[in-house]
Amino acid sequence: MPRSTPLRWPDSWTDPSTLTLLDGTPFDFLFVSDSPSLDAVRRRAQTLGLACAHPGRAPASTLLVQGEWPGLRIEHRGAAGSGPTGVPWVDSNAWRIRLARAQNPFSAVWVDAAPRPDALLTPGTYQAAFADAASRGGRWIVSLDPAHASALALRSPSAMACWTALTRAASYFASHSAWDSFHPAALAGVLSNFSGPNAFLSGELLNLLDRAGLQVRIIPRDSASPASFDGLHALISLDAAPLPRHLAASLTDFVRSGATLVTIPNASAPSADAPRPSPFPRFSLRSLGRGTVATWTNPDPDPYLLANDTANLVSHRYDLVRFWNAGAAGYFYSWAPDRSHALVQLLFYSTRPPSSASLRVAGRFRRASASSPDQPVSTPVSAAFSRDAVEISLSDVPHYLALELAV
Amino acid sequence: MTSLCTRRTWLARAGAFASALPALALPSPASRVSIARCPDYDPSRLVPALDRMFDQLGGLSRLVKNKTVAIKINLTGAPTYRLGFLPLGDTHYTNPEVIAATVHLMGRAGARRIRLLESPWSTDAPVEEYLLQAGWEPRDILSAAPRVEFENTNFLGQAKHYARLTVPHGGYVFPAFDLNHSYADCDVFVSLAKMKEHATAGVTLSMKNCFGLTPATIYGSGAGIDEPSVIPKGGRALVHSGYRGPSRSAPQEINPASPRIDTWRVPRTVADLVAARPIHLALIDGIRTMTGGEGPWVREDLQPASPGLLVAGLNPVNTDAVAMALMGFNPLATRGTPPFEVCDSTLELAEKAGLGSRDLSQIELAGAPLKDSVFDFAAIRARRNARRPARAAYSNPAHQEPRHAL
Repeated sequence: MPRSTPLRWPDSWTDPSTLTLLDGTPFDFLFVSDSPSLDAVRRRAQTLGLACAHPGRAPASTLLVQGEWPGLRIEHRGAAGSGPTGVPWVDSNAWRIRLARAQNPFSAVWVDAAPRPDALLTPGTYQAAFADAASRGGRWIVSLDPAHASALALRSPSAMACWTALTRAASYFASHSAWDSFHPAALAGVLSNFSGPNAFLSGELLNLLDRAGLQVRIIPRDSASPASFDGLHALISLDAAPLPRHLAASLTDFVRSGATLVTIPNASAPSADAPRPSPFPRFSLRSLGRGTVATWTNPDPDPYLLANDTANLVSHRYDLVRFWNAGAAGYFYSWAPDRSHALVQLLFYSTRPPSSASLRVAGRFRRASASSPDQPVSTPVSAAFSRDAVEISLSDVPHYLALELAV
Repeated sequence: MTSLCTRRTWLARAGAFASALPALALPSPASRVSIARCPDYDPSRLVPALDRMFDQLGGLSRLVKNKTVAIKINLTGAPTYRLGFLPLGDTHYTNPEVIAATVHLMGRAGARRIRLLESPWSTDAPVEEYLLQAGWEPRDILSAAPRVEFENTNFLGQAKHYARLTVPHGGYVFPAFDLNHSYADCDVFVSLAKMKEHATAGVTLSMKNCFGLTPATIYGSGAGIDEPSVIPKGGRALVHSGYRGPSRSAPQEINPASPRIDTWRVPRTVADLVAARPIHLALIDGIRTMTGGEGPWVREDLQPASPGLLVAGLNPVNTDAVAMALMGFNPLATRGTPPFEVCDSTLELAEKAGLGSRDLSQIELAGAPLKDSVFDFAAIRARRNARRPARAAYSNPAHQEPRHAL
């Protein structure tokens, strides 16, 4: 998989000397528009060994994904719109990147997402934008707000502070590119072809399950095998088209062994016993061997309710990560291929991350350490280790924090 | 809270309504209240302490034997909110050990069925899932006695209809409530509360705990207009501020022209709820709690506290009065006096409605001496208030919903 760090060259940066901003940074691929005013920039970039391409033209083995500016969608007077018990809405490209990587495992995934005009841009929110993609193994095509780009060309201190934060994030993730090959931890799988009539529901479900705290394995139908279900507690399968025979048999065995299949009335699903009482008002539950087939009662499900109900159905007892006082946050839990250690990446999207967040990570660990773009050397953190989990308290957390947990 | 109501308007309206109070004044019963010192939640100390308290109240079996017992616990706020790094049961939730110990003793006393009730924030998910998110293991509670179950009362639940519970004295704000069936389908009703201050009601004890009886499908910000919504959404802002009425299928406010102010409405609505759904046993967990408000979202100097106290009684007004005294407050305090600087006293309103006395001289005490057991929330509050020029109006972001002109 090619590993580069892309930047969308601002149209206002017509002076080739602006390329000096890239000195010492990992940016090595520039999307430069075809404007003649940028010819000199293109020429100088090529002499510096930087690859250039027209925006929208991805290099070989790289998939471009159209994303959205990651962060809080609603802000009131500069503050996130959250209540005492509500969680602010966060836009994230995490699910898009994970889906693209699952469907194209040998390609790099780059996300095209310019800052929203109303976005509050700070060093922290720029770092969060970078980490939103990089934590899932993708790369954000760094796109500067036009006003920021102009100020940066003039080396204004506040613009430089944002740029420094961005370049630190880029360097940090470039030096941790091994994390891109880590395996996502998951309690449930989502099995779909993620296209045609299934594209909206399956995609929205990936997005919302992440918010509901249920980390999933993405299983594209065309590459699914019996091993795809290994280690999962549940599988969500909503496509109407019948599964290939071998996969249908594996799915039935998977459920019979004690797992839960979440499905909808029109979807392809194995037959099961008569419905039994359900504590979940929108699920009809039927037994199949030691497992359960849970069918959403409405053939046209609300993805938000379906995601939250599925998280409850699978049960928070098995939560991989529980997060307190996180606010507008996200996380991604993965394992090194040799399972020597786990990685939990924490993202805080608000302009001011929490002062006292704590989290519980399921798993048996012996040591915990943390690093971030601003503190790139991993240092031990105090943690309470128990037989099946570790609980870590974090004070004054940065916008992005990587926790490495050694087994 | 913010309001469209000016102070002058408020005084005029509140005065008019206050003048109606004497007509409601009814005899106020008094019964024994038990106080126990308990330094922590270790079951080896907690269970005997509760056992002694229940004995001091006449024995638990007399109350619960062969009965269906409904216990309203306090799980206010989302389970993902902590005060600092502390477990929720050590600050603003009823501690799970107290719940389990109470359930255990009720089972031992012969309760036929024990139902743990709460209306978790904005969800119809099973209460067990809510507890798991808080970091609790619900099986520890479910296995503390035979036939124990949870029910989420924030919506219709498994029943076909809501139960209508009427306020015998007519009510201050509401004449009756439509509630989840669990509050009617029980022989004994227990309020298992946390000892806390409250930003809107001054204190939250066994009576204020019952504010959560109201299902959000009818009384929540996402309640249906004509009929209850299917799914509970949001908090109870419409009860707080009165910006709209509950679903039309439910009993409406007695006087829609009454003040639209939470510090006026919440204490009265609580008094109405406690009258409509009488409490047979009030039990307050004050072993570990917090000062400054009812939850981590309150914009105050919030601090964890370890009063090491349990309070129990058969009358919620008596019990809350003793709990207030243990907190260093005068239970006879009225609006303008701590902890009711900006709100009405639920205790006073309940007393005037004949629900119980708040006069300590009328209440028989058992267990630990009150004067030796005080944990002085009042002094902490006074120091907190002294650090600022004027008490800031409480503003709960969840309650900032559209307000209509009066």
